[in-house]
Amino acid sequence: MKDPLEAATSELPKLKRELFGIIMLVVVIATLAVSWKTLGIFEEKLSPLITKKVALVGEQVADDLSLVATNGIPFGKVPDLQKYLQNVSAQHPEIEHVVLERNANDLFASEKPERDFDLSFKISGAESFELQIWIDHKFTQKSMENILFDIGVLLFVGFILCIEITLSLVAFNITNPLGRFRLILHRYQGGNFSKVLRLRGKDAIAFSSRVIAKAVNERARREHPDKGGVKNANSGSVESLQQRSVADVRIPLFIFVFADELQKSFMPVFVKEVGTGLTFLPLDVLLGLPIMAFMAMIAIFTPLAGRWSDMYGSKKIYLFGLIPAFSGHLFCGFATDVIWIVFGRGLTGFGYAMIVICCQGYIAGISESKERASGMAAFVGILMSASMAGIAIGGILVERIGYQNIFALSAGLTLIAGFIAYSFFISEDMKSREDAAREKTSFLKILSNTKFLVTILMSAIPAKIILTGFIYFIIPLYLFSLGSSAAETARVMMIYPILVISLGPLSAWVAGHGARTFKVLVFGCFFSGIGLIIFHQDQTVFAVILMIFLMGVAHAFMKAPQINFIMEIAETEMPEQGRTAILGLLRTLERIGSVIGPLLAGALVAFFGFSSAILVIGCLISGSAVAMLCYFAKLNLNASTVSHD
Amino acid sequence: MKITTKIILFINLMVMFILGVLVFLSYFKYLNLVEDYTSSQAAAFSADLKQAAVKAETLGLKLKNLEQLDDALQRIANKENRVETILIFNNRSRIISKFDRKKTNSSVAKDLVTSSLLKSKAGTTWTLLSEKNIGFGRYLFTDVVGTEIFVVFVYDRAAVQAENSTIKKQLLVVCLSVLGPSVLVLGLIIFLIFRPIQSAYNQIRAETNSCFVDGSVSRCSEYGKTINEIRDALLADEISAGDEVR
Repeated sequence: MKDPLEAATSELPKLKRELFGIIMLVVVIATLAVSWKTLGIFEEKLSPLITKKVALVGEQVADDLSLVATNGIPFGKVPDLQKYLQNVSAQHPEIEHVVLERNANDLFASEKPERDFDLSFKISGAESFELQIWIDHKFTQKSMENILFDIGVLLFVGFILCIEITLSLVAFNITNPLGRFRLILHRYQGGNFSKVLRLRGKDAIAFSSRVIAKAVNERARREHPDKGGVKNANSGSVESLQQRSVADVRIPLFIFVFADELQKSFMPVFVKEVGTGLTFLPLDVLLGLPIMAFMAMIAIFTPLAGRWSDMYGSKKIYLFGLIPAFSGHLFCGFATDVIWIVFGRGLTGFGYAMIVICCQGYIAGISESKERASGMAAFVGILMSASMAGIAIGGILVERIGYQNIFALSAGLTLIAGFIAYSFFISEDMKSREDAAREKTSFLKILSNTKFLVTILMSAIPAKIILTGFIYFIIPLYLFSLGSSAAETARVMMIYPILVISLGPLSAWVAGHGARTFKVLVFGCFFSGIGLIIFHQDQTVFAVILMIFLMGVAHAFMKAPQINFIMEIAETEMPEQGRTAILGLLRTLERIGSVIGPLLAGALVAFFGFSSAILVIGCLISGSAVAMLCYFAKLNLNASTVSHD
Repeated sequence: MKITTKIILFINLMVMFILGVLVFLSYFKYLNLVEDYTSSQAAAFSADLKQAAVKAETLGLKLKNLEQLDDALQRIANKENRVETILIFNNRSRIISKFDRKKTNSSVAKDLVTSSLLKSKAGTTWTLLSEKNIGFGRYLFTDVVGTEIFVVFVYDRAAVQAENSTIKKQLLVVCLSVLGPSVLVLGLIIFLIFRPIQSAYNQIRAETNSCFVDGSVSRCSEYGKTINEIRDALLADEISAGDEVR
C-alpha cells in the first residue's frame, strides 16, 4: 500500500503549479470580464456628462456672439473671430469642431466633419446665424484609456497578491504541517518524545498530530507526574515543536511594507501642499527632508535593530517597531507643517528599520539551510512586490480619498500587520546579550581597503543617490508639474522595480557566465545616468519613462556584479570578517546615498530647476562611473609597471 | 474542515477580494473622471471671469467695485444650477467677489479660502472635497501690484454624483455575475486538483484511527506501520512503568 504521507508530499510541487496556473487564469478572465462590462457602463454614463459640458461651453460662446450682434457689429468685421472659434475646440478636448453658420453656409468655410453636428445654438440678435458644435466621440474612449491603464496596474497588483496569499495559504495549511508532522514522526521513531506537534484545524494532519500528541503527553504525565501535567491538561505537559518558516514572515512583512509604500507616489507633492513656516531653507530642499529623514533613520538603526533582534527576539522587536511606524503615519496624516512630516517619516523609518531587519533575522534563523536560502530570496521578493503594489495602489487611492486618509490607511494596515505577526511569529530562543555584543565587526579594517571604499563611493552610493533623489523625490514633483495625476506618477515609478525584478535573474546569469563583473558594474553605473543626460530637456512623461527605463535596466544589471565585485576586492578581509559582515557594511554605507539623494536633488531643483537638476544628477552618476574606471585602470597600470620592474 | 474545502474557501475569498478591489478602484477612477469633467466646466467658467477681471484691471478699475464680476458670477450660477458657491479671492485671504446660492455662514467661505490657499501652493488647480461639497479652484491671474487672484467653484456633491447610486448597483451586479461562475469553476477545478492530496489525507486519518488508536496493523501503509511502532514504543513505556509500580 502506498505511503499517504509520501504521496501527499510528492504531490505538493505539482499541486502548487496547477493551483497557481488555475488561479491566475481565473483571475485574468474574471478581471477582463469585469473590466469590459465596467468600462461599458462608464462610457454609457459619461456621454451625457460630456454633452452637458459641451452645451455649457456652446451657450457661453453663443452669449459672446449675441453681445457682438446686439452691439450691431457684423460678425465678418470682428477681428480673429475664426481664431476665437478654433480656440474653443482647442481648449476643450471634448469639442471636435465649431462652426458659425449663416443660412446653412459656414461663415468661414472651414473643413467640418461629414456627419451632422451634435449641438446647435441660436444667437439672439442675429437670427440668421447658428452656432454648431461637433462633439469628439473618441474623447470618451480616450478617457477610458486612463482607466484601462489603471486596470492593468490593478491586475498586476492582483497577481502579486495572488502569489503572496496562495504561497502563504499552501504553506500554512499543507507544506508546513506536513513537514512538521514528518519531522515529529521521525523524532518519535528515534525514541525522542521531548516535543509534541500542536496544529490548529481539523484536517487529517492536525487530527493525527493531536491524537499522537495526546499519547505522548500521557506518557510524560506518567513519567513525571509532578511536572504540571494536570495543571496544563489541555495543551499537554510536553513542549510544542516550534519551527520557523518563511510563511510566518511573508504576510506581515508584505502588509507592513505595502502600507509604508502607499505614500511614495505623492510624498513631495503632499509636503509642498502642507507647506512650512521655516524660511532658512528653500522650499524645494525642505521637500526632500521627509525622504531624507526616513532613509537616515533606516541607515542609523538597521545595524542596531539587528543586534536588538538577536538579543530580544524577532517577535518582540517586530511588535515594538510597530509603535514608531504607526505613530509616524499618524504624525504625517495630521501634519500642519513640513517639520511634522519630517518627524513622522523619521519615526516610521525607525520602525521600518526594526521590522525589516527582524524579519530578515527571523528567516536567517530557519534551521533548514535549503529553506533558509530560498527564504532570503523570498525576503527580497516580498519587499519588491510590496513596494510595487503599495506605490500603485497609493497613487490610485490618493486621488479619491486624499492624503490624510492614505496615512490613516497605512496606520491601520500597520496594526493589521502587527496582529498577524503576533499570531504567526513563533517565539524563539534569542542569543545572549554577550553573544550579540561580541558579534561586532571591525568595520575600520574593511574600510582601509581603498578599492572597497572607491567602489562604495563611486558605484554603490551614486546608485542610491539616483534612486532616492531622482525616482523618489524628483519624479513625483516633476510629473506633477507636467500635469500628471498621482496614479500616472505611480505607474511611471513602478517601472523601476518591475525592471529590477524581471531582469534580476538575467543579470545574475550574466554575472555568473563569464562577464567581467567590473565592466558590467561600470557600464551599469554609467548607463543609469546616461538616460537622465539624454532626455533631461524633453519635458514629457514619455521622456521620464525612458529615463527610468534606462536606469532600471542599468541597475538590474549592476546588482549581482556589485556584490561579486565587492567580494572579489575584499578577498583579504573575507576570512577574518566574513561575507555577511562585508555585505552588511556595503548595505549600510550605500544608505549614505539614500540620505544624500533627496537633499541634493532638492537643492539642485531649487537652484537650477527640474531639467538642469536631472542633468546634474545624470552627469554626477555617469561621471562617478568614469572616475571609478580611471581609478582601477590606473591601479592596474601601476601593478603591471611594478611587475615589469 | 477538509483540507480541500478549506483551500477552496480561502482561494475563492481571495479572488472575491481581488475582484472587489478592482471594481471598487475602477469606480473611484470613474468618480475622478466625473470630477474632471465638472472641473473642466469650472475651467471654462473661470476663463470668462478672468476676461472680465483683466479687462477691468486694464481700465484701472478696482476689482472689488466691479459690478461686472458679480454679474458674471450670477450668469455662471444661472447656467449651472449645481454650483452652490463661487468665490473670487486674493492671496491675502480677502474675498473680492462672491456668489452664494444658499446664503451660508461667512465662516464657511473663509474656510474655503484658507484651504484653497493651502492647496494653491502645490499647483494652479486643485480640488476641495468635503462631505457635502466638492470645490474646484484655480489661479486666475496676478494683478498690477502683484496680488494673486484665485477662484473656487463649490458644487453640491450629491448633485455632481447623482448617477452614482445607479452605477454602484450596476457594478455590484457585474461583479456578482462574474464572481458567481468564477467561484464555481475555481471551486470545481481546485476540488479536482486536490483529489490526490485529499485521498492521501483521508488515508492518513483512517490509518491514524486504525493503526494508532485501535492498534491494528492489517492494511497499513508505511505511515501506518510507523505510527503503530510509535504507539508500541509509548505502550512499552507504559507497561514498564506499570511493572515498576507493581
